[in-house]
Amino acid sequence: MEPLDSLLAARWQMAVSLGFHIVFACIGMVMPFFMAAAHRRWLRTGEVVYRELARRWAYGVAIFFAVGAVSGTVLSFELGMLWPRFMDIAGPIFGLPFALEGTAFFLEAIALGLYLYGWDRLPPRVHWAAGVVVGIAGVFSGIFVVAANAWMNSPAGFAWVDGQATDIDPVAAMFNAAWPWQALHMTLAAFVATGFAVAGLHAVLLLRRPGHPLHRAALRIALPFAVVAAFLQPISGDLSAKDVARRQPEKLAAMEALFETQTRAPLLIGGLPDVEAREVRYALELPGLLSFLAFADVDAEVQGLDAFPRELWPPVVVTHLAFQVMVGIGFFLMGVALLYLWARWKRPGWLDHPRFLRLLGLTMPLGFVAVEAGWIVTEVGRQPWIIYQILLTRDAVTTMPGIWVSLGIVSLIYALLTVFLVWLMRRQIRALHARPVSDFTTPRSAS
Amino acid sequence: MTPLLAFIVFVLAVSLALYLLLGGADFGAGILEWLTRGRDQRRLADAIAPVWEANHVWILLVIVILFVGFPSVYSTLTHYLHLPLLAALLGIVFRGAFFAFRHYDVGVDPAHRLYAWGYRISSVWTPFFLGMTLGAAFLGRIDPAPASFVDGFVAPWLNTFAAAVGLFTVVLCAYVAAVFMVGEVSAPSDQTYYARWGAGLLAAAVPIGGVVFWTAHRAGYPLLSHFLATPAALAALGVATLLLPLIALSLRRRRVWTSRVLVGLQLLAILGGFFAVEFPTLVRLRDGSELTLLNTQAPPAVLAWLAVALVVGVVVVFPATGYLFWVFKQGPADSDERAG
Ligand code: HEM
Repeated sequence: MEPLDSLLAARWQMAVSLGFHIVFACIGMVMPFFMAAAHRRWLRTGEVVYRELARRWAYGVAIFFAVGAVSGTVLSFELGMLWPRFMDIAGPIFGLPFALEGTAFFLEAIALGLYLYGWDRLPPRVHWAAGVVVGIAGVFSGIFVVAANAWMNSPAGFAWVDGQATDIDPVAAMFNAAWPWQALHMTLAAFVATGFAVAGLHAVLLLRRPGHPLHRAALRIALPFAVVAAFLQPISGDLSAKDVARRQPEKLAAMEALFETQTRAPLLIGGLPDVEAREVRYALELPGLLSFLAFADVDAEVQGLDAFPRELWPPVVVTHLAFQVMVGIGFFLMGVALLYLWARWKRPGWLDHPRFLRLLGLTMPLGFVAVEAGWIVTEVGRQPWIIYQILLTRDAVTTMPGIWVSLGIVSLIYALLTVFLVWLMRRQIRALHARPVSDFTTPRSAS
Repeated sequence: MTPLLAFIVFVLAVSLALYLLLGGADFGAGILEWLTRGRDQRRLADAIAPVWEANHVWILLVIVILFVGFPSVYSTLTHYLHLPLLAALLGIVFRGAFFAFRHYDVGVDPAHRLYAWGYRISSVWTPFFLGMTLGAAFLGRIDPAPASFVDGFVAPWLNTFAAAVGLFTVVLCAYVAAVFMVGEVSAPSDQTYYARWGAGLLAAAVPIGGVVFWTAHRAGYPLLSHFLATPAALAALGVATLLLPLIALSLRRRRVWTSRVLVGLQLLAILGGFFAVEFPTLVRLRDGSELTLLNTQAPPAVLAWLAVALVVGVVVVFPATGYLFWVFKQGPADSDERAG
């Protein structure tokens, strides 16, 4: 007797692998920008603290990039190991962005090698440019991979005849309807999550070492990125939601736990869906707002889950709760961003205040929680399909028994790695704090 | 074979060869560190650190070309060889993580022994399972209608032939790394040291190569007679053999670049000879049928766009890689002054 059936185990393994990888992918694509921004300040002002910061961050980028690279390699095999039938069909259709992603990733690896080891070997500007290329290549590789995921949500570029894909057009597949919205939303998400994680971490460290120049410099660089992205993210999320309403109405219905098709559909805040009773408990209802958000008209009709056969419903509770978490965090972070801007304008002293730093510390994990929740919305909200309206997830799963064993192994290893990484970061920080503060303020001759 | 398909097969072959050479040298550095009991741990690591991420992208390219261009080859291998691939993946994760930890973690203390051992063990483990997977693809025990779990997911790869290919791969990796290291150290005594290891590993590779043929024969896979019947493969085998004394000589004289080039050629000959024998087969199944480059290829439109993406990749990646190697490989790693 198996503790979990293969389908569930395979879905969990995929979720664990993706959930782990996405954190490193986000950091690997955003941190290089922070690093390059610090580097630029050092080049411009000659303030040593920025050079130190660029170096410290570069170490972080190197470790996170390495873990991101290997966990990404794992995914490229896992797609076939867990979903052979899916890859048989999808490989040729959605492979183009993967091939391009390979190039972007390659470039990223090369530029990172140049940046990390180029301090004494490259002309300063070339060296700095290598750092920028790391970030740009990282963003491109993220955008390409999202194209493949978007294709699963809005399959395009082929004809589906008797369970076979014909007339494959890889370019049409890549430029599928969901791509622009998902790519925009994901790129911003990476900046929100990494920005607040970095700012939050340095804010916490600043509470422990008040006035430490390195942490102050770090905040000065990371926060503006985070703030701008946090402002744009709800707008991008709204565009995504409008797109989902058109393309995958049952996903929208699950996100909003809308059981009945209705005009002037309400937006729910919070609430626990009861699927059997087809109702939502403890939610705050804002009448007409969902219709407005989805179709820009308070009287528009929004399809509820009742418009779809029961067996094609996505898991409602999970999708709804994940959506609430993402949106809740999105607005909270936007609020923090607003506070920051206002304080900068009117009350600069607040920004050094322990309360503000504590607030930032609170945001440290939140962006990444929203990223994970966002992926749950996208992926769980597409169930039971692996390719929307083409292939069911259960028809794609491997026939190998005992997947729960590999799920166990993969989860254990990623958990261990996470513990290790946290421990490693603490060691870096301890070593940093052991150095005299004057190391970061007085100019030294280049080492 | 259309020119389009030929181009893609060419890039596939080049990627695989580069993975064997560059990724192999990289795995080999870890194996060598083990064999030499960490004698030059730092130098070995420094020699590969700037390029090691780039060295491993080749496997991704192989994977992407397979699943886009030859989807059923990819899905058959990942499906039926799930277990050795899972093992290889665990090795890849541990190796990458421990290498990065070791390189960037602060201080020198017991944690570093853990990293070192994690890194060394996974440096042997990973190429072993990758080699095993490769061997299993051709052996012909993959059963598309398996009667049991063991028939379907264990028997195809858990056999002496696949193990021999795995072992052969490990030895080749260490061999490439040893030859590479000759040029990464500057003291003549160090150079001699690595040249000796190179020669020793080469001497080990020959009988192990023999074991590969013998286990193939015993498993009912007539690899040797196929080699003998394929002129191109025979020529490649001849080249690889003729190179043996030349490499031994150039190692003795510590000719860095001559040795490197000759070893590269030798590995290409081995790999090329093998694929000449098997061409166009990529996977052999138990029922006697074969998945080939021809009967699994994706439709022309797919191959055309894959080719476009590959050309873009080549145009971007090759100059960048060249620059990277040019910047970092101008002299022995131990003559560098590096700020950390
Ligand atoms: C504040 C309002 C927000 C709204 C209205 C919103 C809306 C959406 C929608 C509708 C989707 C589903 C897209 C699809 O399945 O095609 C989605 C996915 C996602 N969201 Fe949000 N979101 C918001 C905030 C955030 C925040 C703050 C983050 C992270 C920092 C985030 C990260 C994600 C991610 C990673 C995905 C999955 C990938 C993607 O579709 O790009 N979202 N979001």
